[in-house]
Amino acid sequence: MRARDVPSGRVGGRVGGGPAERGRGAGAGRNGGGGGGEVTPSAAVRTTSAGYRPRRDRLWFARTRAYTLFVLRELTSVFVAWSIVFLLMLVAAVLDGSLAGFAALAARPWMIAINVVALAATVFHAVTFLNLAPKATVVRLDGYRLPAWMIQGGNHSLWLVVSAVIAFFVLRGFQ
Amino acid sequence: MRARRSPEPYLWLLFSGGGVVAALVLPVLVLLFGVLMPLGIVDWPAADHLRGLLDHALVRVALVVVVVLCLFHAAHRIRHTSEELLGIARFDLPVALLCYGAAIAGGVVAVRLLG
Repeated sequence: MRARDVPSGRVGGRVGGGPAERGRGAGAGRNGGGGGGEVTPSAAVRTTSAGYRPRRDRLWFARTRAYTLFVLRELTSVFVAWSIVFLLMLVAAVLDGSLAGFAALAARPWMIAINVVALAATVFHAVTFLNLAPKATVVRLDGYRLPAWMIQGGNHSLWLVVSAVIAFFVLRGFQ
Repeated sequence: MRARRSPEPYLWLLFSGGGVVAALVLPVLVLLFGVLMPLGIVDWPAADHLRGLLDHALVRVALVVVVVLCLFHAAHRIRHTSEELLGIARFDLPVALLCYGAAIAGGVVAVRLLG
């Protein structure tokens, strides 16, 4: 199932039909058939001009767990964008000298709620995106292929180190 | 036959670069500034301290890179996801222009703030 293996389900060429579009190809194939036998006028009308289009399944992402996870992972990008907006607001406040105002805004309950969700989303994004690296990068040492867990482990260690460095400079820095 | 040049490979490159940057730096920033400090679990740093950080040219450049890459990552994913979720792949060009346009606008804001 590609939705589980690939970062966004469609590496190696755009679209080609997400899960939702899959029905169409099958429909088109069916139209091409019927070469033998007698073609009645009504069948000809049905298979030539408009073609057969199955109805779009509007809830395709709710049909299987894999699709739901795929969509949830894709939607983390909305919170990645939000985090950047929030960060830019913080930077603007620091440069303006209005950090207190920003802190008051950030302490509003709805703002905290958004940011808790944003935290969950960015962590989910980080875990899934960093776990993906071995699929994109094959490291060979003297013919020995580095196993996936080593690359993933390296990525997660790097994530930890970068987070620690950022936290250090934000909270303390070299006094 | 001459192959038509497509911007897609570069957009995918920006997408994955942004994905890595977002994964490495965003969770800790949201955790600190969005959750722990507003909840009072961690004290807000002094404004002067944060101002001092932003005065480093390196920090400014890094922030602009982070903003631009993360926004392109998000724009690319939102473009494809909205097309699949809402079934609007027919309108790829306007959707793409809207998404990448917003990302570029965000990048311009970052450059003007930090430039």
